[in-house]
Amino acid sequence: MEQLNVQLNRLTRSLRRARTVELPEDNETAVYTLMPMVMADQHRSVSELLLNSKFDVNYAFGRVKRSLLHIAANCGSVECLVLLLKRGANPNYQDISGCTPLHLAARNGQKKCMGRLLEYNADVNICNNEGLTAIHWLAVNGRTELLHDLVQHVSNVDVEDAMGQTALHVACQNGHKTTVLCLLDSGADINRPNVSGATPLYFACSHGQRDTAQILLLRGAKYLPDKNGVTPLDLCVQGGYGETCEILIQHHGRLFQTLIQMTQNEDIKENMLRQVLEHVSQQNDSNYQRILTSLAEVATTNGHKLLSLSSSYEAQMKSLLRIVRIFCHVFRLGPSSPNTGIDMGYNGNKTPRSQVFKPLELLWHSLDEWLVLISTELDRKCGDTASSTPGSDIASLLLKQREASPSDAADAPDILPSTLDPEEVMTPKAYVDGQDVISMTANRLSAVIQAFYMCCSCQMPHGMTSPRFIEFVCKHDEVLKCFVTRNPKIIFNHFHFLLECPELMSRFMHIIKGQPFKDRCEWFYEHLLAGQPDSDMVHRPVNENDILLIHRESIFRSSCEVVSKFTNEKLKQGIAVRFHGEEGMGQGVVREWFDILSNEIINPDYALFTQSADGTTFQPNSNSSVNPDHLNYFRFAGQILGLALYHRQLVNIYFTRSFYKHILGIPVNYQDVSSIDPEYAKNLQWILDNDISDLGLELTFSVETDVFGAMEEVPLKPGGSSIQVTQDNKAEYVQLVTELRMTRAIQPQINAFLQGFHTFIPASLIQLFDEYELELLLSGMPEIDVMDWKRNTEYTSGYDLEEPVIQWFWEVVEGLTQEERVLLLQFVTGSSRVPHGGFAFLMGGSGLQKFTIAAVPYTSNLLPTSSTCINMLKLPEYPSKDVLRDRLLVALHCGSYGYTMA
Amino acid sequence: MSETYDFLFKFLVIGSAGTGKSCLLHQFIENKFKQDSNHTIGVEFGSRVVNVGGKTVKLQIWDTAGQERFRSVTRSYYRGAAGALLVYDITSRETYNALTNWLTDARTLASPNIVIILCGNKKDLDADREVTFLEASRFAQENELMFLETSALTGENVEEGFLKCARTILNKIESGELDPERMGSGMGHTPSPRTQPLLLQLQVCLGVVVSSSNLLRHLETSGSLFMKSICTLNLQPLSFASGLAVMERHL
Repeated sequence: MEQLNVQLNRLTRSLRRARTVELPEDNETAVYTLMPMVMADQHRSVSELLLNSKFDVNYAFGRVKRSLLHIAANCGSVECLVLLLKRGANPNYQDISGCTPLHLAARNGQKKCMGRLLEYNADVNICNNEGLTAIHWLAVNGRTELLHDLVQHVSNVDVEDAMGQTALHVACQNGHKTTVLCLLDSGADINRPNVSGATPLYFACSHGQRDTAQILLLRGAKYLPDKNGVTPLDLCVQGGYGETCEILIQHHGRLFQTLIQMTQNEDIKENMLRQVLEHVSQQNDSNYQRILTSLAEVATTNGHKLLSLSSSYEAQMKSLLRIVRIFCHVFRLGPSSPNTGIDMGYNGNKTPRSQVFKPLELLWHSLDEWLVLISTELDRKCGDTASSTPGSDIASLLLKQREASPSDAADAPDILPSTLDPEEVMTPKAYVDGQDVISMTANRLSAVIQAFYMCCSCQMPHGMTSPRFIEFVCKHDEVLKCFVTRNPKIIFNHFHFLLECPELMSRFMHIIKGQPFKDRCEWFYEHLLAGQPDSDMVHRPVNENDILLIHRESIFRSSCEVVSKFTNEKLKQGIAVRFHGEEGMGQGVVREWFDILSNEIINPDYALFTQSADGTTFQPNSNSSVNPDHLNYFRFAGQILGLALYHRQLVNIYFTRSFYKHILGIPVNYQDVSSIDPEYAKNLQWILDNDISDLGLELTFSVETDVFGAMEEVPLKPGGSSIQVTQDNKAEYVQLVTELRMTRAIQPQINAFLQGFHTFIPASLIQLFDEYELELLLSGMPEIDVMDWKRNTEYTSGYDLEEPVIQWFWEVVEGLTQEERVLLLQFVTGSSRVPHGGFAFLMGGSGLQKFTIAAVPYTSNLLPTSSTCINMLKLPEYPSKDVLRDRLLVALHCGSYGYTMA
Repeated sequence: MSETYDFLFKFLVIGSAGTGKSCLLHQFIENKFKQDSNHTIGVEFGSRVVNVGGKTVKLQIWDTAGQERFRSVTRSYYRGAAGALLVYDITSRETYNALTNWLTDARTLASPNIVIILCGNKKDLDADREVTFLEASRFAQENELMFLETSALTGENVEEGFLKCARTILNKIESGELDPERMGSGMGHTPSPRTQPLLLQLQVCLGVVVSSSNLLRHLETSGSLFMKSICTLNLQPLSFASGLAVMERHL
């Protein structure tokens, strides 16, 4: 009965409290009953349950083998903690990782728990398995107040963990200022190294803890490197911590020079170093002056080293350009005080701010002397050749082929023995090194020129070329041309200034145009995108407002409206397109948009472009004004084409050769007329080819045109209707009439188109290409099916498909890259495209004209030639496949541009 | 990771073509003789960190081409140099005769205070000697130069030449005669008014002592002693003078 009562009593209590009132017999089950109560600090319940129970309060459970005391300490359940301690819980019990309840309380900042544990004699000096003690845990989290209480119980404040790290190390790393002060006040060793030799200051610097570093330095921390020689300054620079660097320099003045010297170290990330120097220079004017002057000195030394022929060109060149880049960047930012910001130092070296360029004058002086030296040697070489004075000392050095000089000297006595005075006889001995000064120094000098340009232009407002630099280029024109003629790579590597100043560009244009298309493409995009944010920005999430939302059913009008709402800068940064009512986004949609839109632009309904005679290419419609808004649409079309080119998207339009020339600003010629009026072009060709003196053509410098049904006489030049066309002036007539048909008739349209195009593609950059290449850039590389090509090829003058030369030819063509096949097609047909329907539909000057290969007798070194009007390749009868391939490639790479081979 | 040093001195190696300037530099930096050395084109560069009187000094050495055609280029490297090795070939009087020109260049283009050590190179070719030790040392004294005969082949006196020059500069810095802040800057600087008269005074003093025939005779017989004395002179006016005093006592 009584038992029943007891049970009933328990039941009621249990039900009333909504929990069991009796601990289970076994510890494992019991502990899981108690744990939630401990976590919630339900000490009465715990106390009640523990009463009369045989539960072992030190029972360790779970994966990490903690006791309930750990749980209480961890959760800050102070009442339960006391209860457990009273019931004999071991305050120093260690869990599987060696942590005591005190560790957990310290880690989580459970102040009261910590106090109680200490009352019950918890040992503060116990290390966990990683060697961490309670003070480490406090230091990690910066619990200064708790540390204060605890530290007096600590026997050794410099106790090390397994890595030799003290509490001070971790506090510094995490930048807990008060904790650091507390530890220092408690006698922590300020210079203590860990196992790898890292001191507290080292840790503060490695994480850019400016204030902590300041505290340490004020308290006399030594500036010590780790065991690998890595210094606190190295760490600050690696992390780009300008403020911490500034503090280091304040305390250790000579670190300033070390910092400057770091610009020469290619292992250091340039952007981080720049960030640091930027910060330090912004502190005050004197820092600004000092940093720039020092950078200028380092750059000068570096530039001189680069001019030492035994130094590594690559390393010194990169180093020089890096230093100068940083220098210019810091200079441009200007000193911190804004009122001096207006002074850009245009007045040479008179203003204080431009004083910082002074050390560099030494380098520019050397550069100048070097160029003068080379110029002198070039002159002497020329002079010698002209006057055929043999064996000039300098000339022998300048001769391209090293072996040429002794033979020249040997030949000399036969020609002019008397001119060989003793001094000249000595020459081969004196300059026996026989190396070519120009080829040895050209790269190095060009890199210094690049640096010079950077320094000149950073003193100028954006977009202006420094008069000093222009003067420099003009002065050394001959030498610079000699450099790039010998090694055109120099243009792409170092002569970036050309792209920024058209007046200088024109001097080098012919050399640039002779460079491979691929190199020019790279250069083009490198400069087009220069100044844009880094490409890793591409992956940023697209802002909803930055999406071009296009209506598919009215793609032209809708695109026009949307694009006009965006700034050019936005469009340059990137484009994201979504069609109205569709989900799709990404590159595929962008491509589709350009594809469809370009088809729409040439849609005859808009009357903007007309088809040319061959039916595949387009050019502006001279009558586009039927569409009153036509010029705005032309501008839009130009913008879209420019934007596509900017983002390397291809469009589905092919323009006439003459329109590509218009985009490039190249004058058209009479052959271009054939694209809109082939018969008329033939007539122009005829009057050029034949003597017109006695034909009685009665032509004047004027033409009659049909302007909406009314015939009008249009003079080709002022007073043209009264000037007779004669045999002597017929060329001018042809040119003027060509310009009238091709250019003047569509001038407003061209202008509007270019206005749009140039918003994305500067005219100076597109100049790098010719009309064929522009087509490749805009519309891409067409696929060429060699089988189809071979099937639709005819042979004449002795060739047939069985001829070995023809067999070789097709084998070679199959081995060509896609780009080379296009070049071959361009070489022979003048067009890079295969007509719709394949090679069977290839057009010539008068209707269908298949690709034809004609035999030419072989003489040594003879190159293949072509007649583009009849799609004929004149292929010499080469003796072997190798010769054929070699000659063909030479012809393709040199001859597919311009008309030299036509 | 970063190189540290107390001072950075810019040095020049100048002198006529074929005197062995590049070989001297190579010997100093690499500790070996440079076989099949070609004519230097323009200016070459070398550097070494040395310990001088407890200080670490980085020597940044510009080895110039001796050929006349490079003269205007090499001259553009002179500015800001603290020290120079003026090299001639003891087997070529022509190179010795050109010294005055080189000296004028160095003093006008680098700095009037530039510390110069005259190096009679190719000491190992004593059999072909065209310039005696004595006349060169006289030239050195007249022009306030330190003097050594060196051999880039054997390495004799090469290290000494560079170090002596560095030591002298360091002494001048410590005595306040040179300002290191301005030295490395590549900017020209004027000699302090204090040192100029002292230098002149010394020249006069030397003139008197050296012209004494007794001394000359003595020097011919005990050249090594003289050299030793010269070597200990730092070209600091006062110690130079006391060095002479020591010599006179020997006589």
